[in-house]
Amino acid sequence: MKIPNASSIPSTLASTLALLCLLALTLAAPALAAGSKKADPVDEAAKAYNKGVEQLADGNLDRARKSFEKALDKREDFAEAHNNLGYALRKLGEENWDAAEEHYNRALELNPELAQAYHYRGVLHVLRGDEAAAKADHAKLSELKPELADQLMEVLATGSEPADGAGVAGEWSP
Amino acid sequence: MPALARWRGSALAGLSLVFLALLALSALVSLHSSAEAGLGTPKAERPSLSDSPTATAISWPQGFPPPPPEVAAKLAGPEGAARIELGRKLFFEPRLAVDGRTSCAQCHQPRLAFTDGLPQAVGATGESHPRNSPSLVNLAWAPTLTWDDPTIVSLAQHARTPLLAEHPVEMGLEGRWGQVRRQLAADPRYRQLHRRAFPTSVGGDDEALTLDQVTTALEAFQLTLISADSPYDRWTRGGEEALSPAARRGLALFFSARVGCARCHRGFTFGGPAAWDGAPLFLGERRRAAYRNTGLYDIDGRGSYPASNPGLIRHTGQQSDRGRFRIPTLRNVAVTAPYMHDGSLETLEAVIDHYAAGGRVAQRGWPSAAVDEEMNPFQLSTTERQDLLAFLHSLTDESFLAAHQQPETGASAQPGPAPGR
Repeated sequence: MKIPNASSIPSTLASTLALLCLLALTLAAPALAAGSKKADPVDEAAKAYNKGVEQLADGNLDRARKSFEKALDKREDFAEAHNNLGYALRKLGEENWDAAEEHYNRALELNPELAQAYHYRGVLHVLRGDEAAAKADHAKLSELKPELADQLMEVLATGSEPADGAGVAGEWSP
Repeated sequence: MPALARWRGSALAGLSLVFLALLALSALVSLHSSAEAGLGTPKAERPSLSDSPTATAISWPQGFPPPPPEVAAKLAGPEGAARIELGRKLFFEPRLAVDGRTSCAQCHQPRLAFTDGLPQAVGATGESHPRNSPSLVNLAWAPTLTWDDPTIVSLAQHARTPLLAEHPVEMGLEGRWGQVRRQLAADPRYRQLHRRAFPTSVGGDDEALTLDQVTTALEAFQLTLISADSPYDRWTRGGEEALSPAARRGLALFFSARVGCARCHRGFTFGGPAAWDGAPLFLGERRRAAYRNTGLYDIDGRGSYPASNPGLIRHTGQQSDRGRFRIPTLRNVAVTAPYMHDGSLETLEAVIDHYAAGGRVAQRGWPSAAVDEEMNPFQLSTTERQDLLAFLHSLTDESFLAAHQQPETGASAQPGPAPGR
C-alpha cells in the first residue's frame, strides 16, 4: 500500500475540508437564506395580499390593486391574489374588465375550487350581458359554496350588483 | 505512520461531524422556513368537499351541493338501495294505519309534490291535524323537519310521530304496532326486502320489520325525493328558453330588494337555511333564521295566536318565538295549495297579496313587534304580479311529480280523505 508522503497530507486534507465545507454551505445556503423573513417572497406576497384585503375593505380600490400586483410580483401562483386583483380591477372601471377576467381565469387555473373567483367572474359576466357564462359559474358555485351561489343568483336575476356591494369584500379572510 | 493515520482519521471524523451538523442545521432551518411560510400564507377560504365519494344508490343533481355525509351514508351500498325499495313500499302501504287503508301517501301525494290539497291534514280516524301537510322534497338537505319543531332532525326520528301519535291521531298505530308488524312480516315480499335491507338483523323473518327498521326504510325512501328539474333548473343549466319572458321577469322580482322573496326562500332548496357537506352548523342564529313570523296572526297586537298553532314557542318556550314557523320550500309551490302552516291562504295570488300588504297584522293597522323584520310591504303592478306568479309556476318539476307512483296500481294516490271517513 502506497503511503502518501508527509508533505502532501496537509494539502490533501485542506482540499477535502474545503470541498466538504463548500458542499455543506451549498446545501445549507438556500435554507439559511429562506430563514430571513424579508427575503422570503412567499411571506412578502402574503403581507402585500393582506394589506390589499384591508385596503379593499376600506374602499381604497387603487391601493388595493397595487398591493395585489405587488403580491403577484413576489408570487405569481397566488390564486387568491389573482382573484382579488380581478375584483379591484373590475370595480375600478369598465376599461379594466378584460384584465379582470384574465386574473379570474388565472385564479381558477391555479385553484379550480376557489369559490370566490366563480362568484366575481360570474358577476363580471352578468355586467357584460353574458348570462350563459354567468350561469355556468353559478352552477359550479352552487356545488362548491351555496351561500355565494345565492349572491350570484341575485345578481344574475336582477342584472345588477347590490348598490352597496354588501358582503363582497367580506368573503376574504386575510 | 500510525500517529498520522490517527490524526487523519480523527480529522475526517471531526469534519464529518461538522458536515452532519451543518446538514442538520440546514434541515432545521428549512423546516422552520416552511413552517413560517405556512403561517404567513393567507387564509383563503376553501370549500369543504368530501374526499371520498360515497357509493349511494342515487346521484345528487347538478347544481346542488353534496348533502351531509351522514345523510349520504344512509343510502350507501346494496343495503341502502334495499332500504329505499322497502321504504317506498311502506310509504304506499295502506295497512300501515289503524283503518287499514291510510298510507303515508294519503297526506303526501306524489302528484301534489307530496302534499294533500287540504288546508289541514286529516288522520286515519278522521281527526284533523292543526297544520298543513308539508311537501316532501329535497329532504336530504333539510336540517330540521316539521313546521315548528327544531328538535326533529331526521326523517326516521320524525316517522314515529305520524305512525304513533295520539294527539292528534295520524295513522293511529300506538298499541297496535305488534299486530301490524306481524301482518306485514307475513308478506313474502316484505320478508325478502327486509333480508336485503337489514342483512345483519338477528331476529330473522319472524322478527322482521321492527319499528326502527320501518322508520329507517321510510327515511331512506324519502331522502330520494329530489326535485331538481323544473324549468327554473333547466334555465340555470343553460336552457335559455326554459323560462318564459314573464317567468324571467318574475325571477328578477323574486330576487329584487323591493319584493325580496329570496331573502327567506333561498338557494337550491328555495327554503330556509339548508344543510350540505361543509355547511355552517345549524345552530344559533342560523337555526333561528329558519323560522319566521309572517304576520298571519297576532291580530290584536297583543300576542293572540291560535292555541293549536303557537309556533316555535311550543318547543322553545321563548316568547319571541311565538308565531314563528319554518320557511317552507317553494319548489313545486304551484301544486301545493292551500298555503302557510295552517293552509289559511287558498291560492298563490292570496299569498302574494299577503306579503305585499306586509301581513294580516299590517292590513289591520296594528303594529306587532313579533312579525319578522323582512315583512316589508311592497307594491306590484298587475303585470308584475302575473310575472311573479309565472316564476313561481316555473318551479314546478313535472318529472318529479310523475316519478313516484303507487307501486301496486301504477297510479298516484288520489287527493282528499280516504273513502268512508
